Amino acid sequence: MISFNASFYNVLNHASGRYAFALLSGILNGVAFIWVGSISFIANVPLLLALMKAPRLTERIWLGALVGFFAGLHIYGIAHYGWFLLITFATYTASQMMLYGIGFHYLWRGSPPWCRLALPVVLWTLTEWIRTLGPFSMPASYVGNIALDQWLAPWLFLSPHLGGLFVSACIALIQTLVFLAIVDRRHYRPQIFVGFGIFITLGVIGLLTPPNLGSDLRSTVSVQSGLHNNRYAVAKVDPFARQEIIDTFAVLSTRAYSSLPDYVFWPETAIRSPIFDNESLMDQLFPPKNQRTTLIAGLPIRRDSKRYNAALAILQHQIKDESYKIKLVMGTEDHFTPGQVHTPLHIGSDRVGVMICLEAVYPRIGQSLAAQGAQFLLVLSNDAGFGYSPITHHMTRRAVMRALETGRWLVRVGQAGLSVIVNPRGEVQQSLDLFTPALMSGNVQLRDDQTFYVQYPNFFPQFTLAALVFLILVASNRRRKLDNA
Amino acid sequence: MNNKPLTETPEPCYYPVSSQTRYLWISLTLYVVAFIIYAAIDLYRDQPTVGLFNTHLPPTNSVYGNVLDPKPNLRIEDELRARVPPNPPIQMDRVFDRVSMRAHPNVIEHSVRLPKSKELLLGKQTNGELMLIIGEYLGEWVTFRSGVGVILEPNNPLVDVELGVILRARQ
Repeated sequence: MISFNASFYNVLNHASGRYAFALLSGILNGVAFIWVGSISFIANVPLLLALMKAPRLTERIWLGALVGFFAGLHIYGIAHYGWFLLITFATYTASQMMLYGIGFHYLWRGSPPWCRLALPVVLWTLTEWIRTLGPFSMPASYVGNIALDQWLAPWLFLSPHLGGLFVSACIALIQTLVFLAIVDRRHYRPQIFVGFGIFITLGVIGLLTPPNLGSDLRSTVSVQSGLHNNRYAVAKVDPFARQEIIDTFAVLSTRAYSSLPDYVFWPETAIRSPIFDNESLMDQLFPPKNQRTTLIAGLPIRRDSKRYNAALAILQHQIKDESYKIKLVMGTEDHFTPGQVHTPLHIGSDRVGVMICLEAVYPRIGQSLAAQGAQFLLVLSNDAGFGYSPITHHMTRRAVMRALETGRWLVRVGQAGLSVIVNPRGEVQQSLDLFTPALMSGNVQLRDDQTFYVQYPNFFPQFTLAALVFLILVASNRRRKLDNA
Repeated sequence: MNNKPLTETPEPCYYPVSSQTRYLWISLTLYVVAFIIYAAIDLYRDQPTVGLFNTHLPPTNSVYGNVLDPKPNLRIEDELRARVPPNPPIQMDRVFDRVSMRAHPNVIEHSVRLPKSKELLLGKQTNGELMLIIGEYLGEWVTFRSGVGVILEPNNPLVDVELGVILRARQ
C-alpha cells in the first residue's frame, strides 16, 4: 500500500507529474473563479508542490503560466465579446502567474521555515495587486470569488480596514498552511500552528468589527430591462426593434416613477438612440417634471464631437451631473472616448459614486469615489452579452467587494442582470434574476465616514512590498551561507 | 520508492512516470474535455429571452442571409399588423389594388422602391411570395419574410419584386 505522501513523491518527481499538478491548480483556480469560490483556499496548493520540486527556473515559469492560462480560460463567457478577449485575458493571467513562479524560484531555496510561511502569501498578494495596476490591467482576485460566501463574513469584514487584497492574502495563507502540512507537517508544525492562529484571530477581529450600515435612507428603484445585446443589434437596422426597447424602458420606468422614489436607475447604455432632442421621448422616459425623482441613466452622449459611455443624473428633464466610463472594453467599446477622471455625481446634497460595468472590478475606482465623498455606490452594467454564463455572477461578486471595502451601500443594475442591492457588510438585500424584465425596489443608507482602506489604500500593498524585500534579504543571505558551506 | 524529504529542490535527474501520474493526467484530460463541451454548449446554445412584450430568439442564418430577429411563427400579416398603424386595417387580398387602396391613409404609393424613414415596402415577388422590405443598412437590405423573421440580406431583394406598395410604418 503506497501512502498518501509517497504518491506525491512519485508524481512530483517527474516533470510530467509537475505539469499535471500545475494544470490541476489551473482547474481549481478556474472553478473557484466561476463556480465554487471557497475552492480558492486550496487552489494553488498543487502549484506550490510542483514549484517546489521543479529543478529549473524555466520550468517554474511554465508551471506558473499553465496555471494562469487555464484558470483564465474559465472566464469563457467573455468569448461572447470575441475570442481575442478571452485569449488575451488568459495570457495576461498567465503572465502574472509566471511572476509567481519566478518569485518562488529565487526565494524558496534558502528561506528559513518562518519565511516559507510568508512567501506564498507575499507572492500571491503582489501578483494580485499588480493585476490592478496600469491601463491594461485586468484584476482577478481570490476575495472576489468568496465575496458572497456569508460563512466567511468575519474575514470579509476585514476589507474596510485593509482592502479586499488583505482578505485574498488570508486565503493565500490557508493555501500555504495546507502546502506546508503536505510537505512536512512535523517540520513546519510551529508555522502551521501560528499561521492558523493568525487566521482565526483575524476572523475574530472581523467578527467584532462589522461595518456600520449608515444613516439617512434613500429609496431607489432599478430598471432591469432583461434585453439581450442582440436586441440592440436588431435595433440598429430595424426601427420596430428600436421602438420596442424604448417601450420597454418607458413602461418599466413609468411604473418605477409611480412609487415616487428618490432615485431610479437605468443600466449601462440603456437606450442608444438620441433622446435629448426629442421632447415627447423625454416625457415618455424621464421622471415627470413635477417630481423630485432623479434618474441616473446609462446613456451614450456626445460632448465636443466625442462620444462617451456616460452616467447621467437627470432631474426635471435636465442633466444635473454626468460622469464617463474610463475603463472601456477593448475591441467592443472603441467607438467611445474614455473619460478622464472618476468623480461622484452631485445630486442635491447627495454624492453618488458611479462605476460603469467593468470598472466595478477595480478596487481603486470604488476607493477613489468614496475618498471623494460618495455616500453610496452605483454600478451601471451591461452583462447581457455574457448570456447565461457564470461570468455575470463573478462580476457581481467582484462589485460586492467595492461595497465591503468602502463601507458603502451598493446598487448594481444590469441590462439583463444581475441586479442587486448590497449593504456595506456584503449582504444582498434585493436581487433580480438574469434576463427578467423587472423592477428592483429597495432603500440604501448614506455613509460619510471613510474606512481605513479608503484613506490608505496603499498601506497593505506597501507593507507586502516591504515583506518581499525582507524575504529577499533573508533568502539571499542564507543562500550565500549555504553555498559557502 | 524515493523517500527524500520534499522540502528542498532536487537536482535534475530521471524518474519514470508513475501510474499515479497517468491516472492524474487521464482525470485532468477528462475534466478539460468536459469543460470545453460545457463551455461550448453554454456559449452557443440557442436560448430565447422573454422580453416585456415578446419572446426573442437568438440570431441565426438562413438562405437569405443573417436572421437578426428570428420569428418562425409569424406570418407577414401578423408582422404588418404590428408595424403599420391599426386603423383602418390593411386587407391583404386588396393591398396591391391601386384603385381600391388609393384612399387608404396608410398606403403612400404603389411602386417598387427602397422605403424611406417611417415607411415599409410590401412586395410581391416573381414567385408569388410576399415580403416586407424595411430598409437598407450599410449596403445590405433589411427584410421580413414569413416564417423566418427580420433578415439582413446581402443581395438586393428589390430585383425579385414585381408588385409593391409603400406603407406608412408606426415607427
